[in-house]
Amino acid sequence: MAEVSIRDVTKSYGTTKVLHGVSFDVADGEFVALVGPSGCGKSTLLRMIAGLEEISSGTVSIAGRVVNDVEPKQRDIAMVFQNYALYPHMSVRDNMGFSLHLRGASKAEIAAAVSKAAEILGLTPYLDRTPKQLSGGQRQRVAMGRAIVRQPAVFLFDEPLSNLDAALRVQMRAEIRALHERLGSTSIFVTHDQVEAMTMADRIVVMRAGRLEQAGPPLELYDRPANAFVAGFIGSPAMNFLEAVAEGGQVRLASGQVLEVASAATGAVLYGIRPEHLELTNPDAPGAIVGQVGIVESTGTAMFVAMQAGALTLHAVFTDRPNIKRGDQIGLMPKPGLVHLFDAKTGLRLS
Amino acid sequence: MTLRIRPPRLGRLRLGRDARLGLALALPVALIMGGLVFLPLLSTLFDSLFRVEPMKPGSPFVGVRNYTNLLKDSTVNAAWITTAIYVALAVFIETVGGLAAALLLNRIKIGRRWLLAIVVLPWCLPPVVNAIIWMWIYNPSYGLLNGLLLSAGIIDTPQVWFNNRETGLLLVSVVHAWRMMPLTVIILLAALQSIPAELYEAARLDGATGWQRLRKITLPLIAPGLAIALSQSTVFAVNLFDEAWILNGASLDTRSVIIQVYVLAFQNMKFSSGMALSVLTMVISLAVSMIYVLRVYRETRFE
Repeated sequence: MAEVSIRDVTKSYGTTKVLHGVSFDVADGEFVALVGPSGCGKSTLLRMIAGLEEISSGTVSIAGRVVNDVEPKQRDIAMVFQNYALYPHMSVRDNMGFSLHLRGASKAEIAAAVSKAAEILGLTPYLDRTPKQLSGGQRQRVAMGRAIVRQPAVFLFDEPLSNLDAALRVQMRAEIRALHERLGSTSIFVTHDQVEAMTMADRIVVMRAGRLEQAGPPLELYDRPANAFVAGFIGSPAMNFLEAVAEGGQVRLASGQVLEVASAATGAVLYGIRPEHLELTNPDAPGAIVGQVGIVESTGTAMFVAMQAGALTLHAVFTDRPNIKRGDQIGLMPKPGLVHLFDAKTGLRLS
Repeated sequence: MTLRIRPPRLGRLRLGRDARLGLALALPVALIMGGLVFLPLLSTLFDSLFRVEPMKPGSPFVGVRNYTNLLKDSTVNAAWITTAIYVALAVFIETVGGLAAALLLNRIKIGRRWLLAIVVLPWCLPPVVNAIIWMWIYNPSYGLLNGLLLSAGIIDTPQVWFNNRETGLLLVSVVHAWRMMPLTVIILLAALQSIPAELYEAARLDGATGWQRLRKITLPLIAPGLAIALSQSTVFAVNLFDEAWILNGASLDTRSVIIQVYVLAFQNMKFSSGMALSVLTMVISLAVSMIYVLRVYRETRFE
C-alpha cells in the first residue's frame, strides 16, 4: 500500500506541451478519479504514473520514492486498460498468471493466486477460456484479475468502463469500488464521465487542457466549484450560466431582470444555478425568471425542463412531476444560497 | 421501350442475378487457373506414366517405372539432398533475417514507406538479373566479396568460391534468400502491425523483458503470418533454379532438383523422367507447406 505524489509534472511532445505542471497527492488507500474532457491530459498523466510515458519535468513518487526513472514493472503498480489489453493467445488463467510467471513464481503459487483472484471476480468457471470467448464485462473482470493477482500497491484504471453498455457500467462501477475497499489499495481512475467520478471516488481531480482545475471530494466540487469550468463539468444536467453584471448584492441579467444575491461582488459575472436548484413558481412571483416551457423530458424519477426566457435557455429538474407542458408560461425561482457567481473574465469563483 | 418481365422458367436450375454475376466474375480466374495450371498439371501427370523420349520411337505406357527409375538414380538423389540443404539454409536466412527486418521496420515511424520500398527492391528484380549481380560479387578475380574479405584481412588470397561445395551451397542460398526475403518481411510486418500496442504496454507492466515480449507476445501472435511466410519460402526454395544455374551452371555440387529436371528433360531428352521428377517436386513442396499451414493455423486462430 502506498501514497502517490505528483509534483509539477509536465509533458511535452516536441514543442507541443500537453501537461502544464500538475501537482496533487493521493493518500494511501484512497480512490482518486482523474476526470476531464477528452484531450485534457488525464490519460497521459496516468500513463506517466504507470511508466509508459516519459516525464518531461517534475516528479512522480510512489510510496515516497521518486519513480521518474524506474521501470514500470518495478513501480509496484498494475493497470487496467480501456480495451482490456488481454493477451488473445492465452487462456484467462494464463492471462491472469502472466506477471507471476514472468517473475518466476512456482506453479503452485501462481495457481493459488489466480484461483483466489478468480473467485473474488467470479471468473472461476471461465479460467480455461480465451478472451474472445468472453463477454465485454467478463473481459473487463479478467483485466482486473490480472491486476489484482500481482497485489500491487497502486491500481491504475484507464477509462476501463467506457466499452461497456450502460447497465453493465453501473454494475462494474460498484464492483470496482467494492474491490477497492476489499483490497485497501490506492487507486487512480481515469474517466471522462463525471458520474463515474462522482459515484466512485473519494476525491476527484478535475483537469482541463493539461491543467488541474480543482481537486477535492465529490460533494465539495459539486457544492463549491472553484471555477465555472468545474461548475459546468460536475453535475448532470449541467449548471445554467447567465451573463450578468453584479453590484451591491444584486445582479442584472442581460434581459434587464435584477436578481438578489448574497455576494458583494461587482462587475461582469457569470451567474450559475444548477437545474435542480430552480423552483417552479407562478410567472408573476417576485424574483422569478419567467419564460416559456420548451422541451420536457421525463425519466420517471425526474422531469427535465428547458425553459426559454428571451434569448436564454434555462434547464431545470423537478422530481415532483409538476403538471406543465410545452408552451406553458412558468417562473423559475433560484433557491437562495445555492447560487454560484464566477468572474466573467477569469471564470474563478467569487465567494 | 417496353419492359418485359420474363416469367420464371420452372423445372430448370434457376440462378439469381447475384449468383450469375458471381459466376461471371469467377470465370476468368477459373479459366486461367484451369488452362494454365490444372490442365498442364494433369497432362504432365498423365504423360509421366509413359515413356516420352524424342530419341526413341513410340511412347509406350510404362506405369510408374519413370518414378522408380528416379529413386534409383544417384544423381537425382544427390539433387534432392542439395535441394534439402537449400531449403534449410534459405528458409532459415529468410525467416530470421525477415523477422529481424520486420521488427526493425515496425519500430521506425518516419519514412517507413520509403524504407519498405527499398527493402522490396531485390524481390522486384528478375531472378536472372539478381543472380548476375551476385555473380559479379562472387567473382574470383574482381568480385566484391573477395575484395572485402581481403581488405578486412580475413583471407590472404582471392578465393574461387564455387570450388568448395559447402561454400557454393551457402552462397547460392544467400542469393536466393536475398531475393525472397522481402516477401517474408512484408508478410511479417503486416502481422506485426495488427498487434495492438496496448498488449506490449500490458506486458511491460506485467514485467516482461524485451526478449520475453518477443517470445510470449509477438511470436505467438504473428504465428499465422509466420506460417504463410515459411510455406512460401519453402516452396520457392524447393523450386530454386535461376540462382544455382547462373552462378554455377549444371555443376553437380550445386545442382538442385529443378536443375535436375531441366537436365533430364532438355539435355538428356528424357521428357517423361523430367515430368515425373517435377511431379514429385510439386507433391513434396505442397506437403511441406501444408504441414506449416495446418499445424500453425490450428494452434493460432484467436480472433
